[in-house]
Amino acid sequence: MKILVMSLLRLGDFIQILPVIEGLKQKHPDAEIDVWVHAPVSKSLGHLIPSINHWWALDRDELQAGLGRADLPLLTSFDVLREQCDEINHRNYDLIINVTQTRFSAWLLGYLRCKTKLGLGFNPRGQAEFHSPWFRYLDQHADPSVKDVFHYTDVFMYACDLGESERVWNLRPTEKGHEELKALGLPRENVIAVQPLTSDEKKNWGLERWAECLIEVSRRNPECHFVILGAPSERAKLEDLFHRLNGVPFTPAIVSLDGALAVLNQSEMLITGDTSIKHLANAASCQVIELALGPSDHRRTGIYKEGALILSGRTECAPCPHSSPCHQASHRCAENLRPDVVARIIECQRKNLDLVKLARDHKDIALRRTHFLGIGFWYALDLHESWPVTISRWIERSTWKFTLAPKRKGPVPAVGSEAYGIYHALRELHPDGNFQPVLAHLDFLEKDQSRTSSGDQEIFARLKAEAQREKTLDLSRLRSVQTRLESETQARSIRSKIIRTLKSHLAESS
Amino acid sequence: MSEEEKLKAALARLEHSIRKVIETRGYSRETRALKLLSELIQEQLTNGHTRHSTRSIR
Repeated sequence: MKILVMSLLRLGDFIQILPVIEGLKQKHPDAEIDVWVHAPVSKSLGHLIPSINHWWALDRDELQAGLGRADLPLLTSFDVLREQCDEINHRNYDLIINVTQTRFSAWLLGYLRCKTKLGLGFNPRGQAEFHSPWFRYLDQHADPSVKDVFHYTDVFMYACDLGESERVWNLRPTEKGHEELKALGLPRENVIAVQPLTSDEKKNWGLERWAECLIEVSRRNPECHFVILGAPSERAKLEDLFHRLNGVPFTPAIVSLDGALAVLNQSEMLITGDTSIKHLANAASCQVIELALGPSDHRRTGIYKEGALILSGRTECAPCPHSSPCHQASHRCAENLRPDVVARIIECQRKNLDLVKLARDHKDIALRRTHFLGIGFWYALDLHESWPVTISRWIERSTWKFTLAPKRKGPVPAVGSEAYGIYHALRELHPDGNFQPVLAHLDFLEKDQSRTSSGDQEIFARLKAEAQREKTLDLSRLRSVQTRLESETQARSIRSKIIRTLKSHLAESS
Repeated sequence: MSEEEKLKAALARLEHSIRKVIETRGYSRETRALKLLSELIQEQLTNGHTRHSTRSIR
């Protein structure tokens, strides 16, 4: 079997889908898995990932250079691209998966020939085809203002029918990385890696704040040694931070990804912005504290590790759009993360101290701890969030899992196990075991389900009556309303079963 | 001419061509090719969400 995975975004986006590649490898042990990525991604990562058979590199710079020249025919760049597409078509892939979800990649998927495709593609008329309800879900939940959304890694795992598989980040340490680590001469213990810069100014915390925070951490924890990570292109900017860290034990580490992986494996902790190094840490042994600022949406791309911390400043504008400049007078989400408080959080995480009080005392900071729940998805639990809110989100996600899953016979017993899974996760994470507020909330949700159900039926009946009265029976509109109502009804039935079963588990235990 | 201006000019040229091809020949292979290229540029310009996709990495 030959499989091609298209990931035409950035380095971090590609690292995020490594569990999909490993999952496919486990599901189809004899399959050849190839990937199609941007040229810099294959250059940086090619030798680190053993599971990939062949790397196709898309040279975006070359394509764009051709488009910007008036002396070349308009379709010159397309000819270059077509040549690569034809080569890919000659490989006769059995399955092509597009995990990119951009319009450009959708046109490319439409151009490729393959019996089975997964992910967003455009047909010749430019109409979107998703090939899986999970990719449609992704499209419908693209707006940053949605209340809740699955992590991208989970979406892609479920879309490839790998939802129940273990999430494995298989990155191979290299000799080059080992040599770079050796050259740094780091101590064996108490090493804290820091990645202060990201690709987007709005995601950066600011070097002044980083310096203030690290000085405070060092004052409270004199045994710590910092290693400041950066790419060669970031060296000049980082010099400013190095000057500010006067008296703090630190080592600058301008290293390759191989070197960064080796450093992370020797560090007890990584403190980082939202950047590829954060995703790399999924494959390393260190703990992680992520600073999610600006457009960084932790729900979709947060650190996918058990027990990591994600910090963000609470502002009504976060997460903001990627492309536009910050519209606030100052970078409020970064300002809300006070360096002294972050330093205390780092200390608590290192020494395994209780963070809940700290979260309560600093309401302008959202402090989240990540968990991979037994019900098959990643969740960043806000330490300030009330349990009824958490439970509502888990129930909603479990309902989505069933409604988006391929149709299977006899789903009822599985819904029962899902409810038990939620109960189990709640027992594991709930600090004081008082389930009364949760039970009261479940009562409310149950009543709300039946109220919405009768409301929907009324809407449909009214639409039908109006159409018949005015003799303008718009069949396609009625059909679309009916389809929506049917899927709502299915979701409601699953949700109700989960709520009822969960209630009975909680009532029994209390 | 900056890189961004070059891309904006190319995008305008492509969009004009797409309109012309659709008017004269409807949806065809050329339309798809042109659409694909215009998406490539839009992604790179500030209105796309993969603005930094070619930034230098390690």
